[in-house]
Amino acid sequence: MNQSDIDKYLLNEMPETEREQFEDQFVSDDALFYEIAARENELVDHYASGELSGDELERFDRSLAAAPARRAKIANAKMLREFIAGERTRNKTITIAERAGFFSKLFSFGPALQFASAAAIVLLVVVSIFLLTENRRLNSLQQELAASRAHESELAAQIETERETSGDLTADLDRERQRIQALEVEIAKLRNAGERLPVSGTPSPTIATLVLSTVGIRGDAVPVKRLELSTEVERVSIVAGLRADAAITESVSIKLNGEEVSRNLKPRIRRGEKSVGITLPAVKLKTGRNDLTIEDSKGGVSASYIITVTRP
Amino acid sequence: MSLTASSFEVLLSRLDADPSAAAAKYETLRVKIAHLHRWRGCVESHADDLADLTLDRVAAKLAGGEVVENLNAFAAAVARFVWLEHSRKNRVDAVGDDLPETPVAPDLDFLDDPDERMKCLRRCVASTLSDDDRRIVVGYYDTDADEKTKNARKRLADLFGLTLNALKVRACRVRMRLEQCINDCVAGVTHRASANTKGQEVLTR
Repeated sequence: MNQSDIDKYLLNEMPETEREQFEDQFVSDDALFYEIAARENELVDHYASGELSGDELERFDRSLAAAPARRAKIANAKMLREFIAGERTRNKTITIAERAGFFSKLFSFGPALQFASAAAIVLLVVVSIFLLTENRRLNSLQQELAASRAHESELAAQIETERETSGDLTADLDRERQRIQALEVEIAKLRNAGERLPVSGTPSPTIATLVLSTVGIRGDAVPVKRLELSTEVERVSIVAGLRADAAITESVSIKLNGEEVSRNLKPRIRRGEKSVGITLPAVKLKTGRNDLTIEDSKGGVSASYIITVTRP
Repeated sequence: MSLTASSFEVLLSRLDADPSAAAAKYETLRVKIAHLHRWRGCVESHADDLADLTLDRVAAKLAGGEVVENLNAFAAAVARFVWLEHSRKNRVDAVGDDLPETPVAPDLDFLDDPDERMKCLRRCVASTLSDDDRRIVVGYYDTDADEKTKNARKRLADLFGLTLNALKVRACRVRMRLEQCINDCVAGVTHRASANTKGQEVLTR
């Protein structure tokens, strides 16, 4: 049913036969009945608020003559409109008051709750300040840590450079000692040959240096080193290289002719080569063959050398 | 023809086998018949009485063995007959045989005191409407609000979990109940003020 038919019925413009059919319909159909009633409310409300005009107003005015009960509806509509306007104002006032009264409500409790609210706010402020301070301190520490790490890297690089320099100096020293030793041996030979040499007044060296290296050794062959010890040599300094594949991470011990002569020696790594150093009394080395063995902490052999000692 | 307990039971059972559903349908039918009378030209104060009379006669016909295929259409036909009967009686009472051809011009301020009506409205809102009903009436018929009526009604429907159409029906029902209460209230005041005054009805063809 369209609105035009409903208006015709409500405004008393429907022929009697059609009107009866329409009534039969809405008495049987709840939805249609409420559609008609809602439309009547709408017309009455518009009329009461002065919103009807022109043809619509004329038709409605005419219908009032045929439907006197509508007079009561118009009167009710005016009252309802007034009542709703009052309700709207009241609700808006309440809303504004509620919004304005938020903080006053917060402190509108008893003294205990007021104190609790104030304490909670103070606590919140203190915690906020603490967190802010801690955050700033954390940022500062992070910056300091980054600076320290950079400095550490610089120092590490510097140490590495120093180590390399030191390693070079040690090698030079070793070479120099070997040269001196060779010279001494030569001098001793010359002395023994009856040659008279001018007294220099310089004391004879008492340390012989022996450098044992695995470089150039193939397979499992044990390197053999010859050492000629003069009678003046009291101590022998040995620098022994370790195999490149030796899994030495901690300390080693050194055995000379099966006898442990040193333990807990920390290998040093220079230019990728591992080595250990030891100084022995010259008497520990017997004339002839001497077996020098370097073992790791688990008893594994890391290097073996044969030192053939000759004495004049 | 008066309503008896047995004829009323017959009408109810014809409306629905379930007693509570039948009672609800009876009330709805009564409201429709009362509106039919109003829309036919009956004054407010007689519409409910004529609706009751109509349904009494329908119940009596059913109890008397009348074969009725479409109960609602039958009730509408009886309502039209009751209205015609009432119109004729009213015409004779009022003007005898000198019935005017045109309806009597309605007086919009007829026996109506706005202050009394507003008091009645407030009383009825407080006494007959639930909080939800009050919010629905105020929200649905608040056409002067800043927000567009359609949007406001959609928001109201959402608030109550209803479709717009269901909200319209509910608002209409609540308003009917409210207006019925107001009219009864005003009629009580008016009758006390002028016991001899009668409303004028429009006599239709």
